Amino acid sequence: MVSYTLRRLLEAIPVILLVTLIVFLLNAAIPGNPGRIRLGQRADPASVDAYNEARGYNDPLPVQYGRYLWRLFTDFDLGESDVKAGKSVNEILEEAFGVTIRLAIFSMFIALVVGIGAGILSAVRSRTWIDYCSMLVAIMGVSMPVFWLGILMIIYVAPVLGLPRTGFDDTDAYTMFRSLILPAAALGLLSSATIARLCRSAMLDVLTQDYIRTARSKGLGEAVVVLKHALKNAAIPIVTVVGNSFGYLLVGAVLTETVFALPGLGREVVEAIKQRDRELITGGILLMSFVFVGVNLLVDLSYAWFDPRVRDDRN
Amino acid sequence: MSKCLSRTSVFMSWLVILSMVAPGCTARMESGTDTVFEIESISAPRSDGIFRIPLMTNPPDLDPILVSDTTSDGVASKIFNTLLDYDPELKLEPCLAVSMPEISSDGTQYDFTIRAGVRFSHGRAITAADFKYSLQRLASVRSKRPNLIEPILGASEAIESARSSQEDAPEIAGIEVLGDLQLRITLKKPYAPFIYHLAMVNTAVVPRELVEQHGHAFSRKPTGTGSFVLEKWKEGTSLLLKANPDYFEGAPKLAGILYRVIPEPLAQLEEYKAGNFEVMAVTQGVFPKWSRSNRADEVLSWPSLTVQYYGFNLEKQGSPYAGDSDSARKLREAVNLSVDRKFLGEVLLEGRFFAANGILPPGILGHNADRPAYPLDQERARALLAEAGYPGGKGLPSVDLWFNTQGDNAKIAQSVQEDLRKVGIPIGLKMLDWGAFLESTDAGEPSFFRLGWVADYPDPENFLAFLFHSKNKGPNGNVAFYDNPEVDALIDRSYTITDMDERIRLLQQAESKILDDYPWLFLLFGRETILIKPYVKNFTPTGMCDDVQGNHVRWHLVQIDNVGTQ
Repeated sequence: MVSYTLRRLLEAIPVILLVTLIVFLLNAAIPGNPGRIRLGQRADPASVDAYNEARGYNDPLPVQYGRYLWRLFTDFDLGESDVKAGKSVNEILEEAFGVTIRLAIFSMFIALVVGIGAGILSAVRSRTWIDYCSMLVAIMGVSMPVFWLGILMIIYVAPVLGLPRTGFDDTDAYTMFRSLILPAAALGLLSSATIARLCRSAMLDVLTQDYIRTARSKGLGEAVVVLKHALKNAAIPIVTVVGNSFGYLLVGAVLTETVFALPGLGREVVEAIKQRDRELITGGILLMSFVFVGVNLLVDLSYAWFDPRVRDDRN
Repeated sequence: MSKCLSRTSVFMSWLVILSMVAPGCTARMESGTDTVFEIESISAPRSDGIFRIPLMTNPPDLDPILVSDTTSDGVASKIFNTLLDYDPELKLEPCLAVSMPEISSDGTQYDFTIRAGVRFSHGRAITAADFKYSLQRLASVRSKRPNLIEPILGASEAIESARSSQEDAPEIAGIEVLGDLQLRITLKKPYAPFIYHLAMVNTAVVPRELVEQHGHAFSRKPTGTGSFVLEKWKEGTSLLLKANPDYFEGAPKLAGILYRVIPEPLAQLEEYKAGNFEVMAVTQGVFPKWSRSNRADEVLSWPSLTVQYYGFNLEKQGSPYAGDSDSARKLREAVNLSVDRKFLGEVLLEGRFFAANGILPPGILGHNADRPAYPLDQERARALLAEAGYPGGKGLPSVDLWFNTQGDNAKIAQSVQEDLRKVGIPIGLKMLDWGAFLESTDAGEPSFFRLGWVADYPDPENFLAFLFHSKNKGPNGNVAFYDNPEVDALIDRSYTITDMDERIRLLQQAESKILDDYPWLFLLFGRETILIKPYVKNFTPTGMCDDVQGNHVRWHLVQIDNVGTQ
C-alpha cells in the first residue's frame, strides 16, 4: 500500500510539470501585450516596454519557464502578482484556498447528508411516493444552474432566515458559518442530486444480492442491513462521484463564489485570467492540479478501504 | 408508474418554471397612464456612521504611482491628497498648497507654498521634501504614470535612466525644495496642462520612510494625509477606511467608509434594497424601473467626462474611409449621419448615455453647448454616399467594425450595423478580448474600431492632444492616425499660453477642424447614474466622479442624516 501511494505521488510530478509548461505556453499564446493591458490606453510604448522588461516578459519563453521552475523548486515561490502589487501569489492563493476549502467541506457535507440520505430512502422505499419525490427533486437539482439557485436564495431565503446575502466573514466561527450557509447549500444541493441518483441505483443493486438476504435471515435489524452491509458495498461508485465533485469544489466554484461574493480560488483565477495576471494564473492552475492529483489519490486509496479485493490486487 | 411519473413530472416542471419566473415579477401600481413600480427598499440610516459602498472588483493598487484604474483611484483619493484639487465646478483650487502656484511669465516655473501643520496619518508633518520625493517616484521603473512628470526639466532623463538600470531614478533637476514648505517645479518648456497633473492622485504626497519600510507592500499599506485612513483590507472581500480625525480640512462627518466586493450586480442590488449599502452603481435594467418607481428619489444622475466613438483608421491601406480625399471624407460624413444616437442613448442604453455633438463632452472646458447633436439624416447620408461614388452603396466594400467584449459594446455595434445597412453602408462585426483588441489598434490593424475616452482632467487638451495630435499616432493614443498640421499647430500653441480663455479658444478651433474631417463616428457622451439612499447628505458628484467611487467628492463633508425614512 505504501509503495502504491509513493508510486502515485511520483507519477504526479510529471503531471505537475506538464501543467506548468502548458499554462506557460497558453499564457504566451493568448494575444495581448501584458504591459499594455496592465498600463492601459494611456501608456506610451516605452513605458509598456519598460514594464515588460522589469517583469521579464521580454525574455525568451524557455528562459521565463526555467526561471519559474527554479523559483518553484528552490523556494516554492510562485512569484508576485502582476495586478496586486506587493502581494505574492503564494499569499493570494493561500487566502483564496482557505475560503474555498471551507466552502467545499461544508457543501460536501450537505451533499453527502442530503444525497446519501435521499438515495438510501429512495432505494429502501423504491417505487413509492417517497422515491418519486426525492428523485424528482434530484432531477430538479441537477437541472438548475447554480447561479440561478444562488440568486433565488439571496432574494428569498436569506431575508427569511436572517442570513447574510453575500460576502465572507471569518471574524469568528459563528459568523463564518452563517456566511457560508447559503453558498454551501446552493452548491451542496446540486451535488446532492447527483449523489442521490447514483446512491439509489447502487443501493438497489446491492439490496437484491444474496448476502443481504442472508443478513436479514440472520435476524439483523433493517438499519444494520442497509447502513452497514448494503451501503459499504454500494460505496465505490458513490465515492468516485463524491471524489470528483469534491475535487471540483476544491478548485473553486466560480459561479457560486461570484454570486455570493466569496473570495475563493475559482473567482481569483478567473479574475487573473481576465486581467492577464500571468503569475497568478500559473500559480492558481498549478495549485488546482495539485488538488486534483491529491483528491484522485485519496479516492483510489479509499477504494481499498471499502473493498478489500482492491487492496489485495494492489499488494 | 409511468402515468404517476409523468403527472408528477408535469407538476415539477411547472414548479421549476414558476421558480424561474418569480424573481422577474415586480409588484406594480397604476398611476394615471404611467406604470409605476413599487420597490421595497429599506431607507433607514445606520447609527454607526459607516458609509457602505459596493465594488465590482478588489482595488488592485493603492500606491499612488501604481493607480491606473477607477476603483483604485476612488479609494486612494480618500487616503491621499495632492497639491491641487477641483472645486464643485471643476475649477482647480489649492489642496495641500496654500494657494494656486505662482507661475513665471514664460510659463515654465511653478512655485508652491505647502500648507503648514498638515500631517500624514502616522503623525509626521508634511514638507516640501515629501513632494519632491513623491513626484520623483513617478520616474521609477515601477511607476504606471511616468508621463505625468515628463514635462519637468530633467524628468525624461531620469525616467530613461531608471528604465535602463532597472533601479530607482536619479534626482530630477526640475523639482527643487526651496525651504521647508517651499517647492519649485521647473518645466522643460511651457506646458499649460501640467498644472492638472498636480490634482491627479498619482502625484499625491507619500511619506518616504513608510514607502521605504514597506517596499512594494506600500500598495497594500498606504498612508497619506487624506480624510480617511486604511483600517483593514481583506482582499477580494472588504476594505474599511476610518475617519482621519486630524484631517486638515476638518474631521470627516462619517465614522468610516466600508467597501465590499460583490461582483454580481443583482446581488449588489439586493444588498442595496436591504439597506446594506448607501449607494450603488446602476446597471442594465435598473435605471428605467427605479426612475419610474416609488423610489425615484434615490436615482442620482450626472454627465460624466467621457466620450464613446468609432474611429476610422485614416492610414489603413485599402479602406474606402481612409485618407483625406473628398470621397473618403464624404463617406465618413455619411456614416455620421446614418446612426440613430438618440435610440442608442435613450432606448438601448436606457438613458445612461446621450448623443454626442463633438469630441468634448459637457463639463470639459470648451465644450460647445450650442452645437446640436449629430442628427439622423438618412437622405443626406444617401446623397453623400452617391457623391462619394457609391450610389445606394453599390461597389462600397464592407469593412469590419472591431470592438472589445466589455459592457454594451456588442449591442451598440449591432444597432449601428443595422442603421448603416439601411443607408447602404455594409459593415461586418469583429469582437475581441480587450488585450487582443488593444494590440490590434496599436498596430493599426482595424479600419473601423470602437474606443472611448474618460478625462484625466477637465481640459480639452486631454482629449484633443492625446487622441488627435500627429505626434501621438498609433500606440500613443491617436489610433485613428489623424494627421492635420493645422490642428497640431493649434494644440502646440495652446501649451504655451497660460491665459485660460485664449487657450480654450485655440482648442475649440482645433476641435472644429477635427470635426470637419470626420475622423470618427462621433457617438455618445456618458452619464453616470447611481442609486443613493435619501439620508445621505452632501454627496455632490462632478463630471470627474466615476459612479459610486466619488472621486473628487468632498468626502469629509458627506454625512449620514440621522433622520431617515422608513
